[in-house]
Amino acid sequence: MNKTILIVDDSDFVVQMIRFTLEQEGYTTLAGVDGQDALKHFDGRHIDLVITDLNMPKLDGLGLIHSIRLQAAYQHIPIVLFDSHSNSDTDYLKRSGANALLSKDMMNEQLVPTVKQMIG
Amino acid sequence: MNPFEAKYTSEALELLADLEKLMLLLETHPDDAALVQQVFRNLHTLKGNSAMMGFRSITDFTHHLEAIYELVRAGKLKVSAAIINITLASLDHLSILLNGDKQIGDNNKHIHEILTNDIVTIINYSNDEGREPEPVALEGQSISKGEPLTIITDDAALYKRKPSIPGIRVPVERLDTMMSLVTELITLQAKLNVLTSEHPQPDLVAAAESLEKISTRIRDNAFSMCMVPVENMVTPFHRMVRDLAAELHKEIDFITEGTETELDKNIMEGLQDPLMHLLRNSIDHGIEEPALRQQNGKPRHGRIVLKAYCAGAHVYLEIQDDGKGMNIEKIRRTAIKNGLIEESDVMSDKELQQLVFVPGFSTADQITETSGRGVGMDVVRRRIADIKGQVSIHSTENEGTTVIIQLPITLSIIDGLLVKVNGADYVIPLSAVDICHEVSSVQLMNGFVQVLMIGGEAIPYINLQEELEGVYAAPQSHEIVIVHYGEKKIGLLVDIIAGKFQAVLKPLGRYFNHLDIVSGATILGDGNIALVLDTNKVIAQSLNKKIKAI
Repeated sequence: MNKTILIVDDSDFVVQMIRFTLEQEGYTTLAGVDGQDALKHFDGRHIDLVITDLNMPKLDGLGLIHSIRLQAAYQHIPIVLFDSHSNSDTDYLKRSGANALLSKDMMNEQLVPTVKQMIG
Repeated sequence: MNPFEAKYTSEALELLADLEKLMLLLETHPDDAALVQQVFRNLHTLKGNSAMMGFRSITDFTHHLEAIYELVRAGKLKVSAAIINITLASLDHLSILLNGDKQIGDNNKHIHEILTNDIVTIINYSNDEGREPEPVALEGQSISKGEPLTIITDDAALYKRKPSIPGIRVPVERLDTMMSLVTELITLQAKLNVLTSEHPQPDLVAAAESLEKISTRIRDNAFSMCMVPVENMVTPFHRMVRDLAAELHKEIDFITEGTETELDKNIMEGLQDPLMHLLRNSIDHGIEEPALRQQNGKPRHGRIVLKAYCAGAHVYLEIQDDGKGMNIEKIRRTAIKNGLIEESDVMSDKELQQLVFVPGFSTADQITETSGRGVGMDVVRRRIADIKGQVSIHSTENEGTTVIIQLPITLSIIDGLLVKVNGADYVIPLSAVDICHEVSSVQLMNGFVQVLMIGGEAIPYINLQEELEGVYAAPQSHEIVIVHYGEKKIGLLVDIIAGKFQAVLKPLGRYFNHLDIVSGATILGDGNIALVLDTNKVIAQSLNKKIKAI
């Protein structure tokens, strides 16, 4: 069965681009326009990976990660956090609760390898 | 071009429009933290998106601008007139970049440097709080120490802003509402025209005429807002062709022409699937493998051209490939085998080729995953008929195939000819009409077969009075409307031609769905209902009847 990936960003352009890229690779995708909206997908269904933007209205990436980690069923789900800047600070990664960081300018090259590495 | 560039650009321009509004609010509420946060977020999104697209100049520039608001957010800088001015000027600069090729060239290099310089100056000024602003030197320019920041606000000419926003985005529902209101307006206008002709008071007539001019302009304007360039639909096809060609080990150049041609968005929606299907057909069945092409003396690279153009009241889309074309004999044999034609039928090559659109026809020897079972072409034709279009195919063996789709420019309002048949009102779309003539009963009685000599041309005609079986007695005098039927001309005999009429098409509802020959109904000025005839269907039905009778 196809792996399901949830993509969260308030920019429709970003969501579409990531969706397109991942669907080309055979993944099934879900989308949310912000953290709050994304949480509606956590209704018991199976999600293999979450890819979220940091900066969003209503509930930002860090808030979303926090909310996901609070739910027993999704506690260990792998999460990729992305932002405009590259942030290689390992401390930051630990604090954010995400499993990987991606910067938008490296998205084209790194998205698919990162996802494959995480969920195959 | 990256298929997402259009999406990126429209979203970026939207962000800029938002930012501009925010700046104007910020001007009156410089201490509103929520506004600052919103400005920051919009810039941040713009920066991130630009980074994803690899537009370095825009990314870096937005990064600088964002830094200002990061400082404001952190309380290290206060929103000032200088900051607002430079932001607005920067937004204009970004808008020009986005509407252009998104690169810094000779024409915008100067302003780009000045703006960057000014932004960096502001940032440095806040970092050196309480101290003299640091000079920032950028290639050949320098700001002397201590020069006040007012230099930015002084340079009024530089920041003179264009008032125009290039465009706004409107939800589709609002457009639909507008279109339905416009159609109501047109119906009401027709009613007013009837009333003024019954009560011809000079000032009332003048007012009604002015109103008609304006409502026609509103109609045209509203139409143009619902038009979308073909480009929007075609862009994703490039990727599809590329991927599919690679999968099938074919080498194909996909060329698009005239993609700026505009179509009603509703038509566009209905067109996507059939076009996709036709393209897949060309790739899968049309273009040969590179080796085979070379053997046949063709270039290795196959060529598929998608062409869009306007002619008359129609938009045409052509998909042309230089592949192996269709084998006429094979079509003929298959059609006979499937019971579509008789062994003895005499048909031109052109007529035979059109048989591929008949349900149940397929010449593909192999069922491939790409184009399925070959049931496609009749579905293509049906889909295109749903949006009031017509499709035809022209193929030469070993040279290639061209599929031509003819579409109306719009679906909701048509210019029509109002006619009476057996005393009832009908509308014939003006786009189909060639010419009108008066005919006497004598002329008709003298005719041996149903053919009239008009202007030295023999024109077969169909008597709509028979075709549309009404209850009224046929009148003595007739008029004839000559319409295009494919490349032929055919006359439609009516009681009388009442005049030109703008018909607002309304669906007939499901009880009348089986009425093929009627494409909709319209409300006349006097409140009566007229049926809009689909002339192609009328003629086809009449021909079928005659064939059956024989």
